[in-house]
Formats: sequence, structure tokens, C-alpha cells
Amino acid sequence: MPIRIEHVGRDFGPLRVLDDVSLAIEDGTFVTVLGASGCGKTTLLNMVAGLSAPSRGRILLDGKPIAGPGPDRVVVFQQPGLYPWLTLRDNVAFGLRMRSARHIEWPRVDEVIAVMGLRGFESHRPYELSGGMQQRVALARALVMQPRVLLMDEPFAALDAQTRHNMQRFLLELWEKIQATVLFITHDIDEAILLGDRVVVMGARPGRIVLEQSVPLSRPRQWEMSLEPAFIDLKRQALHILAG
Amino acid sequence: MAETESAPPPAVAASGSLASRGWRITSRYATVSVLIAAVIVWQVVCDFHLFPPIALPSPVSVLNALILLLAHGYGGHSLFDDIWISSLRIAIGFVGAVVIGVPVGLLMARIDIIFRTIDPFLQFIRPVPPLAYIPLLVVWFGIGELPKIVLILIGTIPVIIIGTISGVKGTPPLRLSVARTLGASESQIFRHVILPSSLPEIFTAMRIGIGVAWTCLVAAELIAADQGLGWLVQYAGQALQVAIVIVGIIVIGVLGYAMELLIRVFERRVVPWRGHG
Repeated sequence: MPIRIEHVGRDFGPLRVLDDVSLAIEDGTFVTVLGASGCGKTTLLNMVAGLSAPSRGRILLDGKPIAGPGPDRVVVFQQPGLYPWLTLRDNVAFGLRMRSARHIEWPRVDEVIAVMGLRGFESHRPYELSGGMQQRVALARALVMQPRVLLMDEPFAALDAQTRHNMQRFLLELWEKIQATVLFITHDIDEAILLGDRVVVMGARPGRIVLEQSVPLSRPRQWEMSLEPAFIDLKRQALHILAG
Repeated sequence: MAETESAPPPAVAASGSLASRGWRITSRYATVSVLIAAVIVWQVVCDFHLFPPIALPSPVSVLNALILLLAHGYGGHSLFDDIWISSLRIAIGFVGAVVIGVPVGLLMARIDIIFRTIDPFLQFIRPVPPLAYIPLLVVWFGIGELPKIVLILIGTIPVIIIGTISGVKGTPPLRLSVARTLGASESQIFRHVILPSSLPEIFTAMRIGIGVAWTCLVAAELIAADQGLGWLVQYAGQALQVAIVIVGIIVIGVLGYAMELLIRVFERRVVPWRGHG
């Protein structure tokens, strides 16, 4: 059980943003957290990332409390956040360079670049790439670190509808290959159900878990599954919660 | 319109860019046209003797003064000597200001106690016009090279420091979070994220700074020097050689412009990502 979130709460001043959240993420599962904006889902992810600390409760990684950010829990943010002075290849290798500048495993970097469909663009700068490609570079930069858990904070929310759709399909195919442990935050119901093994629906003010449900769809997933009754049932439940 | 209609389909698609290129050519001509028009107006004003020629020499006599300066120099040294010495002072003063200002700015941005120690002095020096320091510098350092370079440093260092601090503080938080989650240490973040992120602002500060440095230098040469472009203008002015004064002003302006262009070229090479987030 890589990640255990135990009775975690978070306050900003007098404002209670998260209240008593408990969640366990098993190895090799894709957990999506669905919630309206302002429900504290990003706050939860930042605490798992170690970018901020809980006000109450604790978060354990392999049984040890999280003390700060680390490459075992890399985050893919909503914006790609690439470094414009580095080429695509150097952006992907950034984390490895931080770990050890002398022993960058370039074969692994190039393998991830190939898997992400970015071959041929290695020497391009981020601003020469499309939004979808930039986000794939951000994902490659995270995956090359082989994190224990991959954290994704609405990674496709800033993309246009077509690109978002392509990225979701791409992520589904990729996940079939790597079976990584993923915590994926989104406000898009279809995205949460389609991608997740488990969907966690959060309510707002204060943020808390209202529904935790396994997704009764087989893998590999396809887009057409969003027409299946099981999908629609779960979507109806989630809609009901999000509507208040 | 007729051109667009008569052109074959592929060229129609390109006509937009052709039109914009045409516009660019027109706007480049605009600069040259305005320059030529200004010189013509200047010549006409002189031909009608609206002002005494000693106060406003004609473009032709300014050109003659330039030729005279190039051939024989003025006041004992050639125009190139004056250009050389002024450029050398600028180079030393400006490079010195960057070499001192950038590290000090970085330290001030990172370490609060250093910021609190230096900032009051910086804010005190800044609003005082550089000219006000000249008498003091002459008393302390005479009229040699040192007072000019010190004046350039006084004028330029604050600009560089403030630009550097602003560059460091302006590092997008996302870039920092990304580096943290990828396992970068604080010193790695500084070197690999904050430093490159602040480069565009440092270059902006350098472009402002080179102008300030040039202003300081000419001011110092006007008052306390025996060579240099500022001295040339002052010396010729005292002799009522207005044509030479105008030549000096034009050379000062052109050189300042050239320095700005030089930094822009340098900037494009070092921060090609500028303006691309």
C-alpha cells in the first residue's frame, strides 16, 4: 500500500479547506479524485506531493510519513511548467540530472521520449511545441523518474477539447503498458470514470470524501465504454453529488 | 485587390504575408524618410537665415566639421581618440557594474539580512542625480579615469541590482514546484531554475543600465576631463564651434544606440526563449 491518507485535514487561516479525509492507494491502481473547483482536491494532492503539510492527520508513503517533496511522488501539473532554456530532451532528463549530473541514464530518457511519441523533437525548445506535446513532455519528465506514485493535477484541463480527448486516449494506452500507481485529480466526470480504477468524489466546504467507488468497467478501456449502463450509473451518482 | 484576384490560388494564401512584408518595407522607409526630411528642413531653415549661422550651422557645415574632425581632430587629439577613450571608460564602468550588480542582486534577493543592509543605501543613492556626485568625485579622485568609472558604477549598479532582484522574485512558482517534486535541492533550484529564469530581467536592466552609464560618462567628461566625447562637446562649445558640438552630439547618440543594439544581439543569443513564457 504505497499511499495511506489518514484523517487528514487542512486549514488556511480560519478556513477549513479539507476535513477528515482518509484514502488508501494500492499498488498499480489508477485512482481519480473528482470534485468541483474549490473542494480542496488540489490541496490534497499538494500534501501527498509534500509541497504543503496537513494541519491534522498524516499521510504515509510505504509506512513512513511524508516530510517533503521527492522524486518518488512526481507531479504533473495543469500547466506543463517546462524550462524554456532547455531542449525537450534536457527537460525530460531534468530530474535525473538533479539526482546525479554525471550519470544520467540517457537510454531511459530516450526510451520514455519514444514511448511518449516525441521522437524527432528532442532538440526542440518547449515553445516550439504544441500544448498537447508540451504536456506529454511534462508527463515524460515525471515518468522517467519511475516514481512510486504519479500525481496528476488536472493535467489536461488547460488543453482544448480535441487535444484533451487525444491525451486521455494516449494515457489509457500508456497505462496499459506501464501500470503505474496514479493519483489523478480532475473536475471532469467522464475523465474520472474513464481513466480510473477507483473514483473518489469530493464535496466542498469543507472538502471531504462523499463517494468512493470502484469503476465497474473492464480494461483495456475504450471511449465507447462511456455509453455502457455501468458508466452512466456511476456518472449519474457523481453528478448528483457534484450538483450539491 | 486586382493583384489578389489575378494571382493563382497558392499565391492567394501567401498574399497576407506579402502584404505584411510590404508594410514592413514601408515602415523601414519611414525611418529613413523622416531623417532625410528633418535634414532638409534644417537646411532650408539655415538657407533662409532664420537663426544666426553661429547658433545654428547648416547640415553642410556640420558635415564639413565632421570631415575636418576626421582629418585633423580638434583640441589636440583626433575624433577616434575621443571615441576610443569614452568607449573604454564605458566598457570598464558598465562591465564592472554588471559584475558587481548581478551577484549583489542575487544575494539580496535570496538573503533577507543582506537585502536589509544594502537596500537603504541603494534607495538613497538612486534619486540623487549622478551630476551631483561629480564635484565630490573630482575632489576625491581628481580628473583621471577613476572618477568617471566610479560615477558610471554609482549610476548603473542600482539599475542592475534592482533588475536582478526583480528577476529572481519573478520566477514563476510553477517552475519551482516542478523542480522540488523532481527532487532538486535548494541550491540546485537556484542554479538550474532561478538563475536562468531571472536572465531576461537582468538583460532588460542591462539595456536600461547602458543608457544610464553613457549619460553618467558624458556628464563627467563635460565637467572634468581633458579628452573624450563629453570633453569634445564642452571644449568646442566654449570656442563657439557649434558645428563641432553638433558632430559630438551626433556621435554620442549614435554610439549609445550602437551599444543598445549590441546588448540586444547578445540578449537574443543568451535568452532566445524571451517572450515565450
